[in-house]
Amino acid sequence: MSQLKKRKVYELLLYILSSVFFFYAIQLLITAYFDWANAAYHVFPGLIGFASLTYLSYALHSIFHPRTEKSLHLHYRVHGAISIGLGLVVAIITSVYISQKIISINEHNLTPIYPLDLYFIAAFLLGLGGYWLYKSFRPIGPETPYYPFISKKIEVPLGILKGVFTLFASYLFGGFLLGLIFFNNYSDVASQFFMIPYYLLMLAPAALLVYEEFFLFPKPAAFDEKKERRRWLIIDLIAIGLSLIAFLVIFVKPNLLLDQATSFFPLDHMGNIMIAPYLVTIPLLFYSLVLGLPHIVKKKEKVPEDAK
Amino acid sequence: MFSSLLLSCGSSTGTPLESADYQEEVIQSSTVFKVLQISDVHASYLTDMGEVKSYLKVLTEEADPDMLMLTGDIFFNATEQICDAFFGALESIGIPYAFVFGNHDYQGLYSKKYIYHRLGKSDLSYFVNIDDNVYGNSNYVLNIKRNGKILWQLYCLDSGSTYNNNGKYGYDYIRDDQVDWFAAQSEAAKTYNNGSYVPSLAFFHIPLQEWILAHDANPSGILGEIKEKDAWSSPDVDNGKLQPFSPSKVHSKLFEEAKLRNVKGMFCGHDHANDWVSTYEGVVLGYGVKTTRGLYYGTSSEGYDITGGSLMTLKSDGTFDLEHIYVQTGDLSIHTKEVQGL
Repeated sequence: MSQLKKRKVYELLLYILSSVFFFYAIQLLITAYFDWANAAYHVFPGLIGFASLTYLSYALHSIFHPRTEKSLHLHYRVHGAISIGLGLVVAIITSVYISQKIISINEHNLTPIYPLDLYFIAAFLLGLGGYWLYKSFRPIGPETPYYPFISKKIEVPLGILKGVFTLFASYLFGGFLLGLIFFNNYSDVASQFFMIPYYLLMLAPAALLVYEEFFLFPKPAAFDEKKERRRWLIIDLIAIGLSLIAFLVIFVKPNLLLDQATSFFPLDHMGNIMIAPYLVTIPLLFYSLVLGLPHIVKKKEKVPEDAK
Repeated sequence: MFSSLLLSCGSSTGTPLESADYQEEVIQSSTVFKVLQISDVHASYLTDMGEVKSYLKVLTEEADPDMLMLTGDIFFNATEQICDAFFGALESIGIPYAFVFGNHDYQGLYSKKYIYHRLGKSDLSYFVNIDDNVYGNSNYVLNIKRNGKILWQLYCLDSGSTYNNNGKYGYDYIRDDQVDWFAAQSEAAKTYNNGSYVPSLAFFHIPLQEWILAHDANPSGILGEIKEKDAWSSPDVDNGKLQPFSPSKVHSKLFEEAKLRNVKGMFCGHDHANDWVSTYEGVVLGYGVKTTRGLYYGTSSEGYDITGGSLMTLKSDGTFDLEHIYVQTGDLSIHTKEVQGL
């Protein structure tokens, strides 16, 4: 496996792990939100520990995609220091809570191995952070790939969009992974059948990111624009089709999500407001169209007059 | 002396199922039957179950009930492990209990069916999981019998969770088929009881719109206080005026049916900071006292937490006494307020 492929696999594995814990972090936040003044300090270690894996995922991505050698050194140094800091905070606070018997997340009640998971996360942060910090003082190898800006005007806003989209995708992907294992043990087959479009929509954003990372970045040398146009057309049609089906399902079974999916979409239930169908469709539609439309509607390059 | 507790449930057509399938006998040494309402614990990742256990122990020692009536929102964004931990703590006290679902009991990192799977495993639970097509998951009635006569009925009704009303979400309500089921059960008990309706209490989680009408008729009520903010309104109720109650925006027919059938009182949870009770058209309508501080709670005019439980003492003459027992988190000190002869 090439170095580039290996890096992508590392990123994917970390993304899977961070998605599961990001889902847990959001669950903690939601539980604490309604009594924030009292609950904030209870959830603090779990919240910071679980969410730090998402930070780590972003950090790894930026380290694997440096613009220049100088920026790679800076990434190593900054992310290394932050990761070590986060690792220390998670380890120390978790230990203090346990020794002082401060109720945080009750053991085994959210993740099966709490608080061991926080110690694993702390060790991971410390290990990776330490390695990055070490690398920041070492010379960079000549084989390191760089990805300089081609157009800041396009790439910066696209990067921000991708960052936000990745958060949505993480939450939905984490919920999807956990939900299949834990949340639907007693649900009936008919309801699960109607949930299929929603499960696919929870999986689709992460799948789109994987496709983008594995097959489009960096742009392959033998890049077939025609094929690419066709692929994006299919992706956008799938996104639009799934979105339409999701709303059709709600039209046919108005209480489906309230009956079957409060684990994934607690805000609908708690806030008495229908968010879930929009949450699973709008970010996906927006992102896939923003990325896909330039390929789909690409104008033919004008042939210069003097070439005729 | 109460000698037995009979459970019966109904099918979707309102025809009672074979009651013998659901009978349990409870031997009582006292001349009264005491029901302690527990509500809105909101057990979550953040709940100290040891603290909850101590709290429930103090509360039940003070009340000395024959059974506990759990009126919903016992859990909040919970997991199967949290359910098991709570029921474990509750069952360690050794008092039988009934359970009705609250809106938050349906919300958590578990299948909603997990709770009745868990309740079905307990010897202390009166909950019976009936696979019928009456709306909801906890519609059943406890018939309290003595010497072959039903003295009281305790109706347990599932007031649901969130309801999609033409694309707008709101709190659910007790549906028409549940009201029909209730009427059928009441008629069956009347037949069994030589043609007279049996005095009864109804328990569910989300209040009915009649709570608002009762408040308009008698704002001070007969017991407890209203500490919720004016935050709920519906153009169909009280001219859209903001209310400190949170019923469904869809009207349930339960009250109209219940007042004709000798229902003496209806008790709910849901609005944590309220423990207000009043009478309306001959029926006592009230909130149970929220149990523990989970999520949020109210503070009484006297300065203590409105947290604890509500004790109904059912008497053989068809009246009942109501006592609010306030247990303070931390020092577990107790305050009480009572009204008799309802």
